[in-house]
Amino acid sequence: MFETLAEAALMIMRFDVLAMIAAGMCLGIFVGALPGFTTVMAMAVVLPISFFLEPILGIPFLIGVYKGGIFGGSIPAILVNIPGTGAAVATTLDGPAMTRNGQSRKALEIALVASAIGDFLSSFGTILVIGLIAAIALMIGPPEIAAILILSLLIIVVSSSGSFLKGMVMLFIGMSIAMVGQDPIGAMVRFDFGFHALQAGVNLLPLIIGLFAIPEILFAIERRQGSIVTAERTRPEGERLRWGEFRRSLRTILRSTALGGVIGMIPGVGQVVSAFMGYSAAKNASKTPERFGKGELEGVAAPEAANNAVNGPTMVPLLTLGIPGDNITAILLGAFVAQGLRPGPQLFQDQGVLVYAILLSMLVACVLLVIIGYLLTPVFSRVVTINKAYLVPLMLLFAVAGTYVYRSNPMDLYFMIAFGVFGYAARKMGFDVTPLVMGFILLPPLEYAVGQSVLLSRGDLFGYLIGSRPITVAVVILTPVLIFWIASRQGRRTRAAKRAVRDQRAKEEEAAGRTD
Amino acid sequence: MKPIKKTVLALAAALGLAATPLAAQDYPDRPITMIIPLGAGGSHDLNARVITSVLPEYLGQPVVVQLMPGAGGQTGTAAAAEAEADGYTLLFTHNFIDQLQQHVANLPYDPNESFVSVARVNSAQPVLVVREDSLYQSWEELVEYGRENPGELRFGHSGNWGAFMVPGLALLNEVDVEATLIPYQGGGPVMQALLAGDVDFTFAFPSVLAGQDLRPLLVVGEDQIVEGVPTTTELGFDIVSDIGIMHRPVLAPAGVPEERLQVLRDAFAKLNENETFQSLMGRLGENTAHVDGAEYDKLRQRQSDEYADLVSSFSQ
Amino acid sequence: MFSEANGGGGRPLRASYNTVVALGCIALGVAVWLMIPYQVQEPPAIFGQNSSGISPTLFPRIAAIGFILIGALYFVASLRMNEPNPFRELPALAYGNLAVVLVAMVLYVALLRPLGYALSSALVASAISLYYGSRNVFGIAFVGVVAPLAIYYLFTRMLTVSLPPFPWN
Repeated sequence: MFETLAEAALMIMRFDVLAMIAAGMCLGIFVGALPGFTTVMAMAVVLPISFFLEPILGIPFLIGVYKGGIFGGSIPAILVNIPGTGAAVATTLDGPAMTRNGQSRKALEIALVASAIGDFLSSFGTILVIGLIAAIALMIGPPEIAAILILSLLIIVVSSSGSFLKGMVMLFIGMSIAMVGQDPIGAMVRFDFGFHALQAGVNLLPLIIGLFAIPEILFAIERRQGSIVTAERTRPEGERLRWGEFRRSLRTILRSTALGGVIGMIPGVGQVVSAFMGYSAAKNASKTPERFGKGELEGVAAPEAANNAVNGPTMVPLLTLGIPGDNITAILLGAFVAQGLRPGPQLFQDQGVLVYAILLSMLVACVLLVIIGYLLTPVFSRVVTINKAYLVPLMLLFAVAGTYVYRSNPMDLYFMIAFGVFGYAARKMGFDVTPLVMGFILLPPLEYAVGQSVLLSRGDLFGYLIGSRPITVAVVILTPVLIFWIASRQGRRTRAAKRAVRDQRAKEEEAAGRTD
Repeated sequence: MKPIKKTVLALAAALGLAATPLAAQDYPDRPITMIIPLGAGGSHDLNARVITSVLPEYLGQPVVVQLMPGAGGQTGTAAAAEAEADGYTLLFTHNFIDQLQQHVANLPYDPNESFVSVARVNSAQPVLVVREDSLYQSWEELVEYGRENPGELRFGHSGNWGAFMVPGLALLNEVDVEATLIPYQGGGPVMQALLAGDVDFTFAFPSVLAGQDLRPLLVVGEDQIVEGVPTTTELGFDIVSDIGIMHRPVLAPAGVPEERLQVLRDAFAKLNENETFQSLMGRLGENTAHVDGAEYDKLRQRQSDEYADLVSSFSQ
Repeated sequence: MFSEANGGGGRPLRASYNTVVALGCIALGVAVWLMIPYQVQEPPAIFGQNSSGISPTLFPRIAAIGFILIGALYFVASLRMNEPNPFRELPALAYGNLAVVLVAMVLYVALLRPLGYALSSALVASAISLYYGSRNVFGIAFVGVVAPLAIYYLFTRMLTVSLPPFPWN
C-alpha cells in the first residue's frame, strides 16, 4: 500500500495539477460565496471542462471547486448572515455576531483553519481505513438514519440559544412548513390548500435567505444605521487570528472533526447534522457556554470543522461501491465515468495508483485552501466596510437573484419576503430561527426513513429492530441518556453563570462603594 | 478605483450590445432555455451538460440548462407547458414524468396536448439485479420463491412511479408475484441497500453494472445488452419491454411554429452524428439511440395507454 | 396593551406578548389537526400494503399534538416571563422605514418578470440607496447600474443559469 501511496504522491506533485486545484478552488470560493449558488451547481457548470482534461487534472480540478465552494458558502454566512446552504446555518450562530463585534477577519480565518483541519484529518483517516468505513457505511440503513435524525433534532432543541419552549415552537413550525406540498415517500398531495403550485413545497433557499438575509436588511433599515460593525474601530474588519486563540480552539476543532467523521457516514444530511452536533458539543464542553451565540470564536470553529469532516467519509461509497451518496459525489461520479474510470471494487485493483492520487489531491486541496483562503480573507472581510446605504441594496440584489435561479419561480420570491417578515418578528420576540431551519431540513428525510423502516420490517417493526438492527437499538437507548446529560449539564452551567454574574456585580458594587 | 469602474461599465455595455438582437430574422437569435424537471447531479443533469456543450454548434446559440425540480417533476413540466411556444423553451424529461404521472396525479397540463417531441436523445434499459452471493441464480428461481412466499421478497426501487418501480410492477404483474416494495431516494441509495442486504432485488442501468458485485438476472427491453442474460422480450413480456425502459426525450411546448420545430429536430439529428457527443455519451455509459420527434410522438401516445392500464391494475 | 387587557395590576403573573404567541401556537395545533382529513391524501395500497409504510398524516398529527402541548407549557411559562413588548419600543419612524422597504421588495418581485432582472434591480437598488440617505453619485451608480448588470451577466452568461431577461429580448 505504501508503494502505491508513494507512486500516487509523485503523480500529483506536478505544477499543472496544483495549478488546476488552485484554479478550481478560486472559482469555487467565489461561486460558493454567491447566495443561492450551491457547490453542486458550481460543479455541474464546470463538469464539461473536466471531460476534456486528463483524469489527474480534471478530477482534482473538480475537487478544488468542491472544497472552495464549501468554504465560500461560509463567507456570506459569517459576514452578512446569509447561509447559502443548510450546512452553513450553524455557522450563523456565532459568525455574524463576531462580525458585529468587529472581528470579521478573525471569524473568516478561524472558519478557514477549522474547515481545512477538519477536512484534512477526515480525508487522511479515510485513506487509511477506507475498507473499514465502507463496511460500516453498509450497516447504515433507514432505521439507523431515522434514529440518528431524531437524536440530532432533540440535541438541536436542547442546545439552541434562548428558551427551550421557544426552540420547540420553532422546530414544529419548521416541520410544518416542510409538510406543505407532497409527502416525501408516496408524493401524495398534502396541505396544498388547493393551489397546484404549492405541491412542489417550500424551497430551502427562499426559506433561509428569507429568514436570515431579509431580517438583516429590515434591522438595518429600522434606523438606517451606517455600518454593520457596532463597535467603533479604526479597522472595521478587525484583527487577524492569533496563534494563542487558534491553540485554544484546537480541542474544539478536533472534537468536531471526530464527530463529523462519524456522522459523515449518514448519506445526504451528514453535513447539516454534524455542523449542529459539533456546535452543541463545543458549547456543552465549554467553560463559558453563555458566550456562545454572542460571537464566540469556538462557536465558529466547531460547526465549520464538523461539516467539513464529513467530506472524507462521503467519498467512501462512491469510491468503493461506485454509489454516490449525495449530489456532489454524483457529479464526481460523472467525472470519473467520463474519464473511463468506473468507481467500484475493481477500480482499486485496476487503477490503485490513480485512485490514491485523487485521494491525495484532496489532502493537497486542503493545504491549498488554507493558503488561498488566507490570501482572500482580507478582500472578503472588507465587505463589512461598505456603507450600508450600498450594502443593503446589494444584499437585496443578491438575495433575489440567488433565490430566483434555483427554479425560476417568482412565487419563491414572495415566500422569501414573507419568511423575511416572519424572521424579523421572530428575532424581535427572542426566538432563535435555527431550530426552524433544522426541522424543515430534517423532517423529509426523517419521514422517509421511518416509512422505509416500517416497510423493511414487513409489519413487525419492534422484532425487526431488535433482531437485525443493533446500531439502531444502541442509538435509541442512548438518546434519552444523552439528552438528559446535556440538559442537566446546561442547566447547572446556566445557574452557575448567573450566580457568577451576581457575585461579580456584588463585588463591583462593594468595590464602588469603597472608592466612593 | 475610477479606472476599474470605467472598465466594468465598458465591459457591461459591450456584453449588453452583444446580447441584443441585431437582425431578428432567423431562429434562433438568442439563447435557448432547456428546462430539466429534476435536480442537480442526476443522470439528466449530466446528459444535459453533454448536450449543451455540443448542441450550440448546430443552433448557433447557447443552450442554457434550467433545473426546476419539485413535485416529482411536475413543477418543471408545468413551467415548460406555460412557457411561450416560440421555440426558446425546451423540456428535457423522461417518459415516467412525461406519460405516467397524468395517471397518478392531478396535473395542471395534459402532456399529449401541451407538448410535441423534438427528439428522443437516448434510452436506457434497466437490468434486474441481485447480489452476487444471492440464493437466486436465475429469474425463474426468483419468481418461484416469490410465488411460494407472497410478500416475502423485498423489491427496492428508486422512488414511486419511477424508472425502477414501473418495470418492477409490470414484471410482478406478468408473473403474478406479490412483493414488498421499498422506495429509496434514487438509484444510488437503492443500490447501496441491495449491497447491504436490506432488499432482495432491484434494477440498475447498464452504466452502473460494470465492476459491481452484482448478478444480473433479466434485462428489460428488446436488446440483449448483457451477455447470457435473458430479455423481457425473449420471455414474452412485451408490455414490460415497451413501458419499462427509460426514454430521455426533448419536448417543446405545443404550438411552436412548424419551421422552428424542424430547425430543432434537424439540430438534434445532427447532434447525434457528432463524434464528440457520441464519445462523451459513451463515456457516461449512455447510448445515442436517437429517435426523431415525429416518430417519438406516436410512441408517447401508446405509452400513455399502457401506463393507464398498469396504474389501474393496482388501484381498485 | 395585552398585559392590561389580560393580566392587569401589579401581580407577578402577567400576560405578555409571549402569552399571545403561546395561544396562537395552540390554535395552530388545533387548526393543523382539523385540516388533516381534508388536506392529506392517503397513498394507494400495492399488493395489499400501504405503499408508503406510514400514513402521510402521521407527522402532521405529531406536529399538531406538539403545538398544543408546547403551546400549553409556553402559556404557563409566559405568565412569568417579564419581557417588554419589542414592537412597542420601536419609534413610528422605524415602522415607516420598514414599510417603505417592504413595499419596494414586493414591487421589485412584481416587476422582475415584466422588466427583467437588470432593470428592476436598477430601479429598486438605486431607490433604496437614495432612501437610505446616499447622495454619492458614484455609489448610487455602482449599486444601481454596475451591480445589476454585473450580476445579470455573471449569472446568465458565465454561470449559465437563467434570470428574467431584458424586456426587449
